[in-house]
Amino acid sequence: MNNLTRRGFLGLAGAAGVTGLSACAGTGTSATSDKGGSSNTIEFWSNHPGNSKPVEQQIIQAFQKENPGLTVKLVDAGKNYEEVAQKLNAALVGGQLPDLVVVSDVTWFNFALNKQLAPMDDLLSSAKVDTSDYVDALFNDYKYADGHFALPYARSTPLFYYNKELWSKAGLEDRGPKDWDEFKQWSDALKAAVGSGKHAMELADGSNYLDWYFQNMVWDFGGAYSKEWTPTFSDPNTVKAGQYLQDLAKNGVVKFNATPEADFSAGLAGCILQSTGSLGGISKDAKFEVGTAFLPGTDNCPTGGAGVGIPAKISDERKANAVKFAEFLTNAKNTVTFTQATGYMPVRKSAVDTAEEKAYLEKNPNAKTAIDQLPHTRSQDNARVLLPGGGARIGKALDQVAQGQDVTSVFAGLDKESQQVFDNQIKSKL
Amino acid sequence: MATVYFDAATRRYTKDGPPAVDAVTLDIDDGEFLVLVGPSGCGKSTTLRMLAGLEPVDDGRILVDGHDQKGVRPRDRDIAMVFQSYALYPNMTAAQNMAFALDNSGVPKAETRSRVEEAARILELGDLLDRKPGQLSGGQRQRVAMGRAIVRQPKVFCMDEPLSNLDAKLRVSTRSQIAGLQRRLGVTTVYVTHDQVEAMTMGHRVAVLRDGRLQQVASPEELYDRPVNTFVAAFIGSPAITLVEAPVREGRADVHGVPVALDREVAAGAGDRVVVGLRPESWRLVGADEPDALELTVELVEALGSESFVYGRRPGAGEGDDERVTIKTEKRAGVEVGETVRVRPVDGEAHVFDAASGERLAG
Amino acid sequence: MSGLAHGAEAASHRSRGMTVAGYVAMVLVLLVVAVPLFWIVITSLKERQDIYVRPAQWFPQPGTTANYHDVTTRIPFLDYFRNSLVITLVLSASKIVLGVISAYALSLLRFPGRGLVFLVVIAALMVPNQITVISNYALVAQLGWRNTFQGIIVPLAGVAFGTFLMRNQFLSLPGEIIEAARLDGAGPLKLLWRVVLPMSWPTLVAFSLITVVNEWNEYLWPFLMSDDERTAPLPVGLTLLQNNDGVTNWGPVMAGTVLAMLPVLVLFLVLQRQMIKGLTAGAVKS
Ligand SMILES: Nc1ncnc2c1ncn2[C@@H]1O[C@H](COP(=O)(O)OP(=O)(O)OP(=O)(O)O)[C@@H](O)[C@H]1O
Ligand SMILES: [Mg+2]
Repeated sequence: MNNLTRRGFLGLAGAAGVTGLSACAGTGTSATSDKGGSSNTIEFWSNHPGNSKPVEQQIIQAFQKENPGLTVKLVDAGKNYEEVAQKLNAALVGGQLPDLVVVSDVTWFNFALNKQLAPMDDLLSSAKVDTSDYVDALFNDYKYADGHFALPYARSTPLFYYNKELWSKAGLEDRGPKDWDEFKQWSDALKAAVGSGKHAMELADGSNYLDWYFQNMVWDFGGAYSKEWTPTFSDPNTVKAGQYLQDLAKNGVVKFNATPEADFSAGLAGCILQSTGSLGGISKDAKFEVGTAFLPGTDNCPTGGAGVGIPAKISDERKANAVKFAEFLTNAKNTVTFTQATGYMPVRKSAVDTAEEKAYLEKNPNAKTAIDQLPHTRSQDNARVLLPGGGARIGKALDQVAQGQDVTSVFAGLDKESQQVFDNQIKSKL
Repeated sequence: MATVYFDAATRRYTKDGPPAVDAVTLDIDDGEFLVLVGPSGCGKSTTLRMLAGLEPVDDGRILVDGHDQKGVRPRDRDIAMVFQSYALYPNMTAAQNMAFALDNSGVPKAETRSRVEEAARILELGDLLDRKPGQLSGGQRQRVAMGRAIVRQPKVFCMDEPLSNLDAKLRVSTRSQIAGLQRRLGVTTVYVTHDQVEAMTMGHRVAVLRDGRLQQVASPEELYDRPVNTFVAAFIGSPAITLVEAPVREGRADVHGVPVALDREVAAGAGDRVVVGLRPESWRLVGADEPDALELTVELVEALGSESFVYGRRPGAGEGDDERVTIKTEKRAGVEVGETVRVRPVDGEAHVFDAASGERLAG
Repeated sequence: MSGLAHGAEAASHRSRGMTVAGYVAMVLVLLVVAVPLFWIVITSLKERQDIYVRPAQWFPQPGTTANYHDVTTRIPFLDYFRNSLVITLVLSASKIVLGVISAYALSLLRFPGRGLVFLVVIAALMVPNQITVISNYALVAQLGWRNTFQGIIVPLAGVAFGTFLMRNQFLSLPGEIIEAARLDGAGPLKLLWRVVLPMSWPTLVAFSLITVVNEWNEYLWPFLMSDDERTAPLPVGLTLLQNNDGVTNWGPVMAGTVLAMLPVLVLFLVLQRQMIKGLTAGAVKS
């Protein structure tokens, strides 16, 4: 509907705008190629993960100083990754795309699959970026087909946080459990030490990324959410892990909660699994000495967090500028600056060799745990991160398991649903 | 001040139903007080609203001072209306209610004030001018509504049952107030009412409507004395006239065996049967020895002090109201319920109507 | 005589019982409404370590205004506040004016196609918000209005709801009063201003209040449209206080919430008195 007919319509309603644009706005032209956006302004859409707005601004300043012809416009693109994805979706339909956008481990794939994010490999090589310096596990998290669709930026892993006072009261060594079996052996002592009304361990519930933390438990039992695109929830080892989680809940060892980090800081939970991103906050809030450790098991720590991607439908010139800034944002120096301010993981191998980082880790042994764990990380299973709605689907099933429903049948249901989603939404596009 | 002329004015609310107002032709003189009566739903309000411009005229015309009012907006007609409900502005004081129309037409403030004060004086609203309608009694609201019409000094007043919500006493005093006021101001007035007394006492002429059609327009006396048909005869007068269908034999109507002599003229125009109408005062009680009398069993006696009404029924008559005979008697007739009385029509006072059409037979 | 006194006593007993019941109900409602509010205020005055302690602190010890300082310094609170004011004022004003005028046209003025226009309004009410967001986005982006006040305001100025609400209110007014005003020579504007609106005051105030609160809390569209503190309103700005991947410090969040709540609360207190008045009393015969 063009302006003229709308005006006519308004006139009809007694010169009163009855419905404004909302009732009769057209869909406009779908943005096949985004004309907007200037070639020397880089629009960066970020949700400032880990309250990182000031650091981002600081890095942008440095970038603009180094590249006098370029300006970076930092846009508040949402309060979480889902909102950034929502805003990006609106722009993909409505036009005015950003040059660089934060995408999380669960949101990037759908954009890549629909060819809305540009593959970065050619861009990186023409910008002469040495991609081998990126931590392999983190870089390869964004691999699909034979391209990479984002660069790791605000990356995290879960950590095992424990209350050192409680540990000594329970007569345990000052370390995390080697594996989940050992934790089970410890649980009686912990339960006794922590006292009634409190819990040996708290875990986030299914709406708060239990599916992320549980990934570690599954791997420790030799199971997986999926092998490539084939869901493996009914694998005996996966079921064993589910059973283990259910037993912890049944025996009153674990409580599920939306914000376990709050209870932990308040001394209500003996230990938790939480993102490295929470390290700063927990250290500030807790009134006792906080210990950190690797997740139980060997080489089975999932990665998480977010990277930065470039929309496919902007001009090549803008893409080139964007990749220049993306590289700068994640170079050794800046990843150190960024991660020290937020608690995320440095994404460059060379980062740990910088003097600042060395000094920092010396002072913050808990941060060192996270970095030391990095070589032991593993990219998550497709069924969680690449299948649309995967995280939420698994989280919901885990809530049911925690409430005592039969693990085998719940997981069989997950298998079936995941397969359906794959068949309907992914298969044809691969 | 104006003349009003309804020229076959018709209003149809629905396309196929009967019109609410059906080809009403009515000539109202300058300064005349015309009362419009009729049973509920006969189209009285609709007629008024057509005049005020609130309802369109589907067929025919309405002329004010000889000008066709078609297309003239209500606000330009200079007609003031007092509504069946009072329709006061609840957010304004009594004074503001009255001044509203004057403000709108740009009358100077001082004049507005003096006109409102004058109206308040006439209507005895002096102390109430600063009150809002919610703080007034029904009668007071009624007077404010009147005042709102008066201050405008319009060409025509339209009043739609303005007294229907007042108690009997207030109604009597306001009735004479309005009539007096109208006489003094000389504004052409169309006044709708249900009330017999209002109809008979207030207006110069009375128009009777039935199902949207005009039955008769005449002075109250004429209406009472020479109703044009049985409907008007039955509608005007309280208690109602007694109507009896009677065969005609040798120039006489046989009213339940009592012969009623007809005028020669009337007898000539009458067919086999006529309807004879006898008002309560057209009967008299007679003794047992008098011939040609009607015997009635007394059902009810209404002693009003100055006079009494006796309602009786012939032995063996049906139960219906139309079989009842109403008789007006002296103050103390000494008639008791259950007693049998004998009555005779007073010579020459019978109204005679055609049995088939209900029209008055000339005479 | 004694019987009378006895009766009166019984009546006062009954009314005392009712009074007590009334108070109990009021206290219950107060608890339901006020406790969360109280908790927000209290939390905003606590130091960070005191927020999560158990047993919970009902009074901050020690109290601190640091959170408020934090809100006003860590994010450009005043910018967001100004944006919220601009957006809310302009949007509410236009919504109220357009709603009243269009409702007036649809209920009391006669013009051809009136029924059709009303149908369109109703249809607009039925269209879910999510559907129009995308098309509006495209339109605004084409006009180059992203991250501008007009980009946020114009698409939201649709007033189907207000039109609908006020139209029904106007239609519920006694028709004879409006006819009386017409006969009294009131033009359309005067009719609206002097007669129709004064009688519709409580509905209008309620509608205005709902509108203001809605606009003040509007999130999705301003979030999509705005890029930074030049246009983003408070609800969008305050999310910057929440850590989106890690531990949120709730003190400043609560402080921000309290500050954002205040203007609406004040407005409500001012307007609620207006809402109680019934204004058609005595207008027409019952
Ligand atoms: N707006 C309307 N739409 C349809 N029919 C109507 C409308 N107003 C009145 N009528 C019908 O028109 C006829 C005349 O109505 P009107 O109000 O003129 O009667 P009335 O003589 O004033 O009656 P009352 O003495 O009860 O006030 C009635 O049959 C009524 O049902
Ligand atoms: Mg009427």
